[in-house]
Amino acid sequence: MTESFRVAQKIGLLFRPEDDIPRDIKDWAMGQLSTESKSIGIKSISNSHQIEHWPEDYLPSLSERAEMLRQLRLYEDRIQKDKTLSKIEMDRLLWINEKKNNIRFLDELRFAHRNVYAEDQVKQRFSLFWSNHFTVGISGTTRGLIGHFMDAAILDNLNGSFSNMLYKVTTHPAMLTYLDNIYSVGENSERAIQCRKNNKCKVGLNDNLGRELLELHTVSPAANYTESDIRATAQVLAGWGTIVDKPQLEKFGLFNHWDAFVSNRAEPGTKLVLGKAIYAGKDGLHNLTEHLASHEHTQRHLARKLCQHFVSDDVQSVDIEYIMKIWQQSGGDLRKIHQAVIERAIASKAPKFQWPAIWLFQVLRISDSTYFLGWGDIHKDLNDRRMSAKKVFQELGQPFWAKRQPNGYSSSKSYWISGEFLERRLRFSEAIYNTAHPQFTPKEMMDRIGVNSATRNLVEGLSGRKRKFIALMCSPELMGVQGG
Amino acid sequence: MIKAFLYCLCFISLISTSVTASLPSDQTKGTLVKEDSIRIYEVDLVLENATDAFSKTDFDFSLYDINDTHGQMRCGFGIYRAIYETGVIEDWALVNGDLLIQDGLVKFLNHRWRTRGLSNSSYLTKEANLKLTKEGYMVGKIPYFHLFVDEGEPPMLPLYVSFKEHKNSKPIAINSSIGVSAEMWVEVDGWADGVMYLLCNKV
Amino acid sequence: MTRREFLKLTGASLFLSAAPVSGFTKDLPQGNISVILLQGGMDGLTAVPPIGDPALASLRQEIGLSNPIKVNPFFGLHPKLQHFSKLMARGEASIVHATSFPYTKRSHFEGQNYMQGGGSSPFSTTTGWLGRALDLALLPGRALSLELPLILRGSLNVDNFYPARVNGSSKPEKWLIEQITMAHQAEEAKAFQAVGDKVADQARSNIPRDPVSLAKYAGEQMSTKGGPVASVIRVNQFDTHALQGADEGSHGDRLELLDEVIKAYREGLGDAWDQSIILTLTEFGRTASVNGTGGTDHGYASVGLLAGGLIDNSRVISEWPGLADADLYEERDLYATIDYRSVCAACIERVLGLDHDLISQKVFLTSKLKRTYDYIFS
Repeated sequence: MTESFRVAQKIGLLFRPEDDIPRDIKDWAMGQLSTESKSIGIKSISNSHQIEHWPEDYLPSLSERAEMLRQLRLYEDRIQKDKTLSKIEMDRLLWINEKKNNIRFLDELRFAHRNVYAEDQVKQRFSLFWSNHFTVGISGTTRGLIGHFMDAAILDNLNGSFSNMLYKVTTHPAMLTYLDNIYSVGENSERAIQCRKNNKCKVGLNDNLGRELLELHTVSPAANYTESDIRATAQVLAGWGTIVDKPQLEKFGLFNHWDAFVSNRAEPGTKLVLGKAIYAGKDGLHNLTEHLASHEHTQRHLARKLCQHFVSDDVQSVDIEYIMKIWQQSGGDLRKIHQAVIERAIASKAPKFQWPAIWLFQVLRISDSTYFLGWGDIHKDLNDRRMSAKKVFQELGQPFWAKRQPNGYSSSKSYWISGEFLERRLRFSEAIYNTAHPQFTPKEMMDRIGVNSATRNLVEGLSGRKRKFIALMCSPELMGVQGG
Repeated sequence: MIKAFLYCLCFISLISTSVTASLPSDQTKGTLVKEDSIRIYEVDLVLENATDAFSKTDFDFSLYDINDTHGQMRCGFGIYRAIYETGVIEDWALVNGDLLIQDGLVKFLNHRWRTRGLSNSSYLTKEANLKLTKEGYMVGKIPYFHLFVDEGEPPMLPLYVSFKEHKNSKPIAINSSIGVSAEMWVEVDGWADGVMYLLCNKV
Repeated sequence: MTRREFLKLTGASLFLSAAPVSGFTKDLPQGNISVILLQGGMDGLTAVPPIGDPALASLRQEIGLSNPIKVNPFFGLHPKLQHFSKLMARGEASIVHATSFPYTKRSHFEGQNYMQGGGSSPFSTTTGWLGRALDLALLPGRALSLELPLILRGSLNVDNFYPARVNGSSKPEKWLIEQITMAHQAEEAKAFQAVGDKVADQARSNIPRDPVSLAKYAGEQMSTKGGPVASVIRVNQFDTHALQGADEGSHGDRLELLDEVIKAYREGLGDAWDQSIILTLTEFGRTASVNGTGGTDHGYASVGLLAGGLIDNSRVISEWPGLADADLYEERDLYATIDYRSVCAACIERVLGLDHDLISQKVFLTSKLKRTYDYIFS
């Protein structure tokens, strides 16, 4: 591959036909970090070359989403309580309610569009990395919140400090719901004391988020935190978050789901986490996240993950050390950290295996194929063989709107190499060729990318354009692995 | 002397294992346990039935007045999907062929599923459990392939759907002899119902 | 010399040489082994409540079972494990209680890696214990999942099977796959090769992909000559931190699915059931007491459910540690008194005919593994 494509494969999504291929790829990549991010895509596959901004209606705010979830739940409840309905009639009405009120399907499609039509491809890559690091899976109301989380907690904070992103992520209702913190109540809080007076009342601490905050999001088990640290973290977190679809904000005197600290559920007293004293009150969480963000174990843990994802499959300690150094020097400035990652990715000549979802976006962009539906097309019976975005990501093995484990998808190549995963690549390539109308021939693409002779030999050795297309997309070069 | 030596050995093994494996810090319960501390608890469970006799097409006919003296009727049938949201009944059948109603019992004869995948005629021939009521409604349960399996898709096992007296059904006029038409509707899933069209002749 | 004797004597060199050893044909293992991975942390005290323990009721309160199946005066079984209870009544299923791999740090991430890796600590191996066992016996295994899970990795002869659903695509052409395979190297070439093998095998088409259907398919495959000797299937979502329910509810639903999977394995295996063993595996159990949100948090010991014709007598095997505060691990979790690796080792010994010491050293990479074979298979 030419240097531009090589780099764009590692840290970006490759170049669409309308993109000029930059000559100074490093300059371009750094510049990309400041590009404005827009939600663009297509309205309908019948007008696939009209790329425009998604309608405002489909970009609801957090309070609008809370209202939608409330409506969703209200009707769900009503339908489920209606004794006159048979199970099937109930399923029917529930499904219509889902389609009407659940923003999740549009969010998932918009995520696909953002990547396929991206002008800010490098930012999209970093955004997906962090969204996976701070995994939020589907759990109750999070289905209507994940889209907002990815945009507002992650993408919007790519150029601030890691500490800031960590705080925003931890307090976002999606995370607080997903890891059950909305149910967590300090054992010595006013609420708990009140509750204990009543036999039927049961509340208590839930340590799910507390544990994952330390284990997965920041310092990792290498820091040798103890159960006391986990418990103390849970105590700091107690009181954060409310159940999004219940009209409770007003009840607690709050106005914003993202800033929802319910003081009567908070644990009083000072807590000790990894040697740091965290005082009671709303600021406690801020102090904790700052402490964790600047912790050496956090830096090492995350530098390693960044290297594994962007730089090389075989992680080199020199790369980890470099990123840690920049982290420390910049005080955790994500833009500088990302710049460092880009530098190391360019410097490393080793190939980097790409996730199935990234591979798909890259294939669609360089071939200019229209594989995902437009926002106006979904829920319509198009009698088309195309799959919904939901089905596509499920089949790839990488859905971001699914019941997931909080540790997210591995960036390690060996996880993704199996007969079934590779068969998917062959099948998806064929499906794209058959149904998504690629606008470039294999030869044109090979010329533009500047593939090496091994790839050319593979493709040219086959007859039929479809076979060539499949072989090109499944070649070592396009997958980001070493050739044979 | 020997005891001390043995203790020494155990202690050493304690150190080596706890360095490499995250063993619980309280070792007293784990290591110095004797072989026969593990107990075998006998099982008191008794088998009630010899086999797990349960058929997927079991149906409670006691709620219906079954017509078992009715004689023979032979029908051509076809099952089509009725899309709930649009009200449209599709033009292409899921399955069609012939069936026989004898003494109130429905028996599927020559027929073919169009849905591909795992569908084949043995399902209805072997598993269908349908009867005719005195008012001419078909009630009971059958295996039902409700989706067409396309290229690139894995197959699915059939659903098991219950025919009851659906409000849209048009019963068989059992006193007539020739050219009797009927519609048996069945609820399938949230997306569509099924309609079985019948054209029957007394035999 | 039979295979069993041969492997006993030359175990070490067999592992190092990695070349197929010729000269022994008798005593090929007749049996097969299936592992059901329960991800999220299966709650042993819900699946098999120790109804005879006086401390249970107060610990579990709103999530205590109202109607457990009574296995014996001390142990009950979750009502959703219907089929499993029938197998117990038939003498074809057993339970090991208060058991775990020696891992206590309660992390999914580490725990899942460790339960599959089976090494000395999490992330210490890139192969899995079942993969290493199959390597020793030079036998094939199959995972019913999209990815090849760690537990099977390492074996020369494993693949995975998970029917594709990509609209607008068809079964890939053999010739095309061959060309692409040749363009790749190492792991990728091997994986593409597996795709090629699969398209050549007609028997693998037309299988539905829900876990129950896959279990049935796996059973059928293991019952055929030359088919895989081991299979791995996964049941998720046991991580019920909140509102886990009791007789009904989220944890119960997962147990019901597990029960259906076991039933499907039996249907698929047919006559080969007599030579089969199925065992569950989970990364950790859950806290003894219910938390403040109607659920349980990560714990330590859990149960292992075993089923198959290779079990001669049903029983519950346990060195019951007790549920009083002082008896709990770190005053919160059921204590593990049986190393579950021994249970896995016993199953390997029974099915693959490998010697216990060999298994201990080469499969579980320790010299200290206790042998619990006689508790399970006598």
